[in-house]
Amino acid sequence: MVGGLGKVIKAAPFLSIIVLLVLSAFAAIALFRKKYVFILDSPEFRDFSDSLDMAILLVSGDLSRILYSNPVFSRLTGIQARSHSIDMIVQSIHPDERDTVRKELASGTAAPFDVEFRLSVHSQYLWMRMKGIPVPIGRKKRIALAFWDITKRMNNELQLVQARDYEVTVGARIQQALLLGNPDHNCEFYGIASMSIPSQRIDGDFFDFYPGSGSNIDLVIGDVMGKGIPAALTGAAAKNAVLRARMDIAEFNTGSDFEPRKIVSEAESILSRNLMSLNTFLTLVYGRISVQDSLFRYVDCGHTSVIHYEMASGQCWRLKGADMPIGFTLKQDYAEYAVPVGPDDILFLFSDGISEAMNTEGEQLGEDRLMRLIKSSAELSAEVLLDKVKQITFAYSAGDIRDDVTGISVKIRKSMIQVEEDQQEFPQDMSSLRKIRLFFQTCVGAMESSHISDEQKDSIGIAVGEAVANILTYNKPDASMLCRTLFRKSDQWIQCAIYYAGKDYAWQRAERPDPMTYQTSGYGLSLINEIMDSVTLSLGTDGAVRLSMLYLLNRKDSVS
Amino acid sequence: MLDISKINYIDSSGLGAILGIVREAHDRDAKICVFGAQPSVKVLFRMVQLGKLIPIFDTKDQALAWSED
Repeated sequence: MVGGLGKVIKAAPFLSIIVLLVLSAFAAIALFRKKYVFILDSPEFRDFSDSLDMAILLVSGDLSRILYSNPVFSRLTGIQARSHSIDMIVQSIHPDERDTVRKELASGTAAPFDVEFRLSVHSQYLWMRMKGIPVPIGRKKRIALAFWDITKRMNNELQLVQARDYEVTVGARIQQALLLGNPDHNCEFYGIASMSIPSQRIDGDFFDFYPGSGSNIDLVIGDVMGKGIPAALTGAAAKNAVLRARMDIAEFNTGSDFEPRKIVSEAESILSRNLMSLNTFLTLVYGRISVQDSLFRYVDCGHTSVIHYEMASGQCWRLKGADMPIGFTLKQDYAEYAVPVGPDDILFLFSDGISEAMNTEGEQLGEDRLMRLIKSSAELSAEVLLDKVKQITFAYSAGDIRDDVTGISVKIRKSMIQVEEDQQEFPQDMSSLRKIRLFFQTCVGAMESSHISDEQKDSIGIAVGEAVANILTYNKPDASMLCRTLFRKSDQWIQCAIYYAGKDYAWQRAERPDPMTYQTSGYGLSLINEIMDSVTLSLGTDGAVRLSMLYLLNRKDSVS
Repeated sequence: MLDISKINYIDSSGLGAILGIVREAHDRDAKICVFGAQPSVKVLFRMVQLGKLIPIFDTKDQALAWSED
């Protein structure tokens, strides 16, 4: 198919040169009228014009007479030129193109033209391309026409279009059958809705759901680099690898709620070598809605953020991880994060087909707009919210969707556990450092010792103190701004959260310095991450930042 | 001997300051230890494994006994 197209493309300049030569001959005739009869009647010109694969006509300016036709014309069209008028020939043109050709011919004495049309020849339509130039001969106006059969080229193009349509259809079927999981897992604790609208170019977007113990549910959303059936097949293989990873781990573990990071790590061991050999990679988020402790646990391998609408703050936050896409390297040590989710919280997982939807000005929809949309629609159910996101995405891009529009919305309906909270506001400057630390120390200190030891309380105080110092150090002090502290506790975990205005800082995992080196700095970040089970720094909209530090009271389930 | 018995909270900046003093002492081939750490301070020392670098004693007497060895 590609070879045939190449021939057409290569042949086109040659044909154009021939057409130019022939039409130039008529122009020359116009200039040297005396030679006109000689040239057309000469055996040399007859041989030349007969050797061409194109019909040549010279017609009167009012299109009433055909003044000259070469033998190719009759062979090509099955029409005896001398017994036909131009109008009779035009009648044999397909109705869809007839008016266009007629209009071009009517203005043919004024300007050159180039038109393609179907011509009925022996009861079947052949595609023709016709070029015409005005040929003024003295006071008389003539039109020189050259046309040739382009049926083969048009059929090749048609086959290409059909092949593309076929690919799109097959890709869409692959996507529906192999890439998209069944989202019907609603329960009293949460509602889930999902969608994937394929674009004209098939993507490797995929998602799946895995029910766990109790009402827990795991979900994965991923995106393979590239387009077309290769990406879709790789996506199908990736989805299968995640499922196989779960089954492989289940063989050596009791229960079904093994850690997400172990599942992702196992899936990586199945996939990464093959992905690297194919020079591709995939991004994914593997998440777990853990009902019995009201947590959302997740591993992020370079995917788009998970948007968390948090009822407690009335804000949307971007949940991010620090790991690279699968296929970048053979082996990674994956980090798992956890944030509390309560009634009316929303988790929105999506592919870049939504955030990178582009308007006519070339501007992307972006995560900020998406977060504002989710925040303003937070009262909607998971299904209605997802539909609204779909409508907005399509409206924003005026229906010109270039990537698959894939999304999962989860709305938390109720919590299985009791959560108590305390909060306070402080000026965002160094004068609050001690006060904020004391706020958390007082909250933690008031907890019963049956839940938490004094040493655990002290270590949480250390982590909180380091975090507050980091926030106030890395952001310009501004006493007119308020930062808010939130302390939440349940019988499963403690959350110390700080909401502030400013910027994020390098909050990810850090190696603890060795005191034997006498290093005097760099301990704070490692202490926070060592003490707390999950630390996430999430950006909101308009410069809002949330630092959430989670301490699990049941340490056997600890996350990284 | 560093008496830190009156310190009820220390963060990584305070730790850095102690490490600076320790380095200076070791540069001069001097012996150095700390004593009197309150429980919350001990937690931090344990986490950063300060004990690998200098002796940490609960009481002044223990520190004195070590210094006279």
